Amino acid sequence: MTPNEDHRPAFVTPLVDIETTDEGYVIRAEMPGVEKGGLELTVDNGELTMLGHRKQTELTAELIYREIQPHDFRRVYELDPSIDTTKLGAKIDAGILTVTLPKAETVKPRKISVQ
Amino acid sequence: MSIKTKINSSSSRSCHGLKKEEIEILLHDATLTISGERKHEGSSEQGFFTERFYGKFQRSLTLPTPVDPGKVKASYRDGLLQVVLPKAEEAKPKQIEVDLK
Repeated sequence: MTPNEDHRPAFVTPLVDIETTDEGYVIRAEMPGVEKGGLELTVDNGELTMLGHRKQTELTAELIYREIQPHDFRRVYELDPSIDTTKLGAKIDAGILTVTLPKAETVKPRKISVQ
Repeated sequence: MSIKTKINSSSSRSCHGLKKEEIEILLHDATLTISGERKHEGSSEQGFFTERFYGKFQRSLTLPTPVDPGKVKASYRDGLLQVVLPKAEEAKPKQIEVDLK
């Protein structure tokens, strides 16, 4: 993380797993502390931006130790042109964001029957 | 007053991605141990890129103050585990009135 000296928001890069199948790609990103309403997914110019805003918990006691960065999550991916960006799907469960990126019908492997 | 400890980070010792039943919290004397196991979700035979941690994890903390074991509470939400351990009565500061004569 770069120091936040110029007041630009600081972000944490979530760890991801990416799977590929014939159908497309699945990204699983670790965003603990992010609920559905805190998610912001955008596709612009062939780039997928995953933003996860953490719900800020109010401190009811004096903080004596901190390991968890309170920053929001952000990660950007350049999308393969074969992905149909109109059919992206996303869900979040137990702090894991799952984004499904289906391939366009035209690029899926097809069996061609011989006449 | 109670000590609030959030056990999580983007490190491999985090609990996110688990079900509630898959996390074990154990308090033994002054040692709090949190453990569990994260299993693979995917089943892809094709390409697979992974940064995330899978497998067993465990973390132990030694508490600086005696806690009331009957009042320990844990909650798990959005992948964050929160354990609240209220201090034992005998560990709380007491005010003693002094009569000046």
